[in-house]
Amino acid sequence: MARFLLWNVQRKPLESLVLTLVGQHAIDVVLLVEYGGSGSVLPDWLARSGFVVVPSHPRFGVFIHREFRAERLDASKLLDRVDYFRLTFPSGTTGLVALLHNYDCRNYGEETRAALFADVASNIRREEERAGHRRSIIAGDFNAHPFDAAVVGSHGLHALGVRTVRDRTTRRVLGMERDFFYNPMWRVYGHSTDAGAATFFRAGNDAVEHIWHMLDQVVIRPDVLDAFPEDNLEILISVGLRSLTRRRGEPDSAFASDHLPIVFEWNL
Amino acid sequence: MAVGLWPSFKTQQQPPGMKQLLQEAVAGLADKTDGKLDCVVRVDGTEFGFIFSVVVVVVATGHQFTIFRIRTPINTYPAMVEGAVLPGPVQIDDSTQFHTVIAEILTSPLTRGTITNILANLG
Repeated sequence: MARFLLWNVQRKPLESLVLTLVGQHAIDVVLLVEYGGSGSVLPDWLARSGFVVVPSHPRFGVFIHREFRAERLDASKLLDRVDYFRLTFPSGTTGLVALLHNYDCRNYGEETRAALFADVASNIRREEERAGHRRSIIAGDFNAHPFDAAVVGSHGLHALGVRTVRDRTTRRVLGMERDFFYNPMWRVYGHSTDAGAATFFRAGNDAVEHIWHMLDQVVIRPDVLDAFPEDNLEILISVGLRSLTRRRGEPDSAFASDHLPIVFEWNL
Repeated sequence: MAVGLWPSFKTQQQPPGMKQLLQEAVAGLADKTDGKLDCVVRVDGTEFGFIFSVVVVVVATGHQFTIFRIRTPINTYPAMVEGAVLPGPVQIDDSTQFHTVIAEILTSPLTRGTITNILANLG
């Protein structure tokens, strides 16, 4: 059993919270976005719990338990917003992991995000062909909803809320068979009555405002879903006994991050 | 023989489509990088029309990096250009604007820096 923690920590020194979550949820792989880890005590603290640092772009913090091994792939050199790893589980089985921090909605258009999603999907596909398997996940702060065209569309990530389409893990688009990812975040979105209904909260004044935004996501190849127990995918709203949300339900960014963390299991 | 009411299409020169325009505009990267990188144009279709992606490909590994995209409801102008290098979507209505915007993207410090960085990492 391998448990992953994914959290956009908003460049804040949340070391003690991360450490508590690692212990509380028996985490094996820590994926931090907007880490800003220069000078952080987290590597030292996690090392005492048996974790090692995996080299990554500065915006990320990647830590794995020493029973795992991770090799950073060459595709990581293309852009500082995505890191690609080959992760070897204690069983000896390997999987591919892409950790992504996509362009924010305030400064960039959806097509720019879609282009980066398409690059990530294409580069993962390339690594899968090289590895001879499709055991892959893409996780991170997508800065998009699971239902946005950039996420769903074949011109973007091509991550759907269904496991198969007519018993196939590809769809025909413009005359071409295109493989897709399965996005389990559809199952989680809005399940809580309020707090933790997604990972990011914004009560904007636009006519269309979803209030809760599922910006932090993990998607997986549908072929290997057996190793991904969906019931164990969870948005966390507390660290120990301390709530990560305010009384009204939104993330308490004064105490922690403006994003809520998620945990998931991937058992290879 | 009845000539019908159709206008003649024989002599009408078809203007180049967006893909051809882009291919001409972004040609030559392979020569300028000793064959290490190539630049290709990919086309997707969506409910609102075409998306043309200008993609840098690392020849040795096949990894890709999209520089910018052009979205257009038809195969020519008007079109919207989007990419991380631009402050926001830019509309282009004719070939003059097309060449201005594309040149701005290709010569921008961000694009040049990205290409230089990829080449440096390739060793």
